[in-house]
Amino acid sequence: MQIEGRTSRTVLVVDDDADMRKLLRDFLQPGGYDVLEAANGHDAMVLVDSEPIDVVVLDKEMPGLNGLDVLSLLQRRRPGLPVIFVTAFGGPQIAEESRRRGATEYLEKPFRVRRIVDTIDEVVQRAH
Amino acid sequence: MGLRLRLILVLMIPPILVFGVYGVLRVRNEHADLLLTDRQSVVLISKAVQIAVERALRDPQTPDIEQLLAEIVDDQQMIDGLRIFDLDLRATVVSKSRVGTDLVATDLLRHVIATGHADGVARGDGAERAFYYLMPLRAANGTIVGAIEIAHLLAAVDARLRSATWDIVLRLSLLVASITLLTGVVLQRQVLRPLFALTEGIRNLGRGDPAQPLPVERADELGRVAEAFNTMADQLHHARRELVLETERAVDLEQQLRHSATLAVAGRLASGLAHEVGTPLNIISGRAELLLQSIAPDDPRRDELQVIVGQIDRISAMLRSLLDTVRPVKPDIQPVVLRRVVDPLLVLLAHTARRHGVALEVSIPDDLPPVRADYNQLQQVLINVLMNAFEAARPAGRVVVSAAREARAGEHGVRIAVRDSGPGIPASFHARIFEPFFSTKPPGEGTGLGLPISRDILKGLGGDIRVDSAPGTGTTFILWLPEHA
Repeated sequence: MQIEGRTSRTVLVVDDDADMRKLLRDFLQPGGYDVLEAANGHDAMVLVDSEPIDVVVLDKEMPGLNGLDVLSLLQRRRPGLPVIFVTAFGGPQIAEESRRRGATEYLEKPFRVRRIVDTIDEVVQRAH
Repeated sequence: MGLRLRLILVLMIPPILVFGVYGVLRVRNEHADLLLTDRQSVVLISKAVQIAVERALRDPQTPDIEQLLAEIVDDQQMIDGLRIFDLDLRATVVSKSRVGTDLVATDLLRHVIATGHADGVARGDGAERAFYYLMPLRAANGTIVGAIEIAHLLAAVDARLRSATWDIVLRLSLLVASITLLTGVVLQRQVLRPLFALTEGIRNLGRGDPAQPLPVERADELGRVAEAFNTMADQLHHARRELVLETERAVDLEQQLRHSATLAVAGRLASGLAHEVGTPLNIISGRAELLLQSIAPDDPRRDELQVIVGQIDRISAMLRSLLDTVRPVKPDIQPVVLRRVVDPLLVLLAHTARRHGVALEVSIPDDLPPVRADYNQLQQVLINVLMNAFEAARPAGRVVVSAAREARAGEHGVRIAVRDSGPGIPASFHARIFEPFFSTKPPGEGTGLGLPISRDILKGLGGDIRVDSAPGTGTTFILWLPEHA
C-alpha cells in the first residue's frame, strides 16, 4: 500500500523467531513497506540508531533483552516512535505494563496477520 | 476381687473377730456353768445317798441294801447307777444300772478309801459317758469300811451344752449377717453407686460422647469428686470443641492454600505452554491467510485454507479462556502488616510443623512498618517457603522465622528470614532452585514450581527472594518487600 507523500515506510520487526519475521515481511512488503529484521533486542537498538524507522513490531519473548526492556530503551532513545507490542497470550497485566512503557498498540499472538498490517497502516498514518 | 467384696471383707473382719472371740468365751462360760451346776446337784444328792447307805449298813436289822439302792436309782433322775465297794476294792453291792458296770476307777477308789475324801471322774464315750462320784463309807466309829460310787449319765448335760452352743452360734451368725447386709447396702448406696456413675461418666468421656454431668447432691468427698469430674468434663468438652474448630480452620486454610497453589501451578503450566505455541500458531494461520490472499476468490482450495485459519482461531480461543481461568488475579496491593499474615497461618503451620516433627519459632516484632504487598500472595509465598523448610528440617529439626527492617538501594523495606536446620543446599543449586520444575524431592512430591512462583510474586510486588545456604549449615531464605509509603 502506498502512503501519500512518501514512497515507502520502514517497519522494524523484532522477534527471535525467523519464521515469524519472514511471515510479517511477506505480508508487509507487498503492502509497500520496507522491512528490517532484528532477532534480539541488541540488534534492534543498533538498527533503530542507524536506520530511518517509522514503526516497530516488537515481540516480548526474546533471549537477552526482552521486549519490555527494549520498550523502555526505545522510549528513552526515540520517544514518539510508534511501537506495536506483541506477545503470545500476554494477558491484561502485560498489556498494561507495555502501555506504561510507551507501546502504541498491543497485540496478542496468535493474531490475524491482516489485522497487524491494518494496525501498522493506522499507526503510520496517525504519526504523519 | 471387686471393690465391694474387698470393702465388705475389710469392714467385716474386725467385728467378725470380736464376735468370734466373744462367742468362744461365751460358749466356754456356758459349759463351765452347766457342768458346775450339774456336779453340784450330783454332789448334793450323793451326800444324801451316802448318809442313807451308811445308816442302812450300821443298822443291825439290816434291810435289803440292794433294795435300797434300786429304789434310789428309780427315784432319783440324776442317779443312773450305784455300786458299793469293800476295802479290797471289790464291788459288794451293785444296783441295777443305766451305765456300764464293768469298769472300775481303781486308782480313784483306792485314793478315796485311803484319804476319806470324796472325788469324781468323768469317763466313757457318747451315750455311755458318765460322771462317777466316789465317797467313803464309814462305820459308826468313823473308820472307813468301803466306798460308794454314784454314776451320773452326762448325755443330758451334753445335749444341753450342744444346744446352748448352737444357740450362741446362731445368734452371732444372724448378727454378723445382718451387719454385713447393712454394710453392703450402705456401701452400695453411699460409695459404689456414685463410683459406678463416675466410671460410666469417664467411659463416656473417653468414647468422646458428651459427658452427662454427675449429680452433686452431697457435700462429702464423693460429692467433691463428682464436682471435680463435672468441671473436668466441661473443660475437656470445651477443649475438644476448640480443637475440632481449630482443626477445621486449619483444614479449610490448607484446602484454600492448596487450591490457590494448584491454580498457580496450572497457570504457570498453561501460560508456559501458551507462550510456546503462540508463535507457531501465528505462523500457521498467517501462512494460510497469505495463501488466501494470493488465490482467486472462486478457488476451491479457499475452503481448506479457511478451515486452517478457523481451527487456529479455535485453538487460540480455547487457550485464552484457559488462561483467563488460571491467570493470577491482579495483585491487590495494599499496606500489609506482616503479623496479620503470619498469625492466622500459625494455626496451620504449627499443625504441619508438629506433623513433620519440627519445632517452629516465629519472632516478628510488633513495630514493623506495613509492606507493599497483596495479602493472599504474600501468604502463598510464606507457605511455599515454610513448607520447603519443614521438609528440609524433618525429622526433629528447627525452623525459625524472623523479620526486621532493612533498606535496599535507599528504599525502606522489611526483610523476612526463614531459617531451617536441614542439610543445606550446595552453591551450584542456588540459582537452579528458582527455575521451574527443578526439584530435589522424589517424583510426585513437589511440583518444582513453589520457589519460581514465589519469586515471580515477590518480583511483581517489587521485592525479591534469595537463598543463603551451604551443606551442613542449614538454609535461610531471605525475602524482602518494600515498605508501604
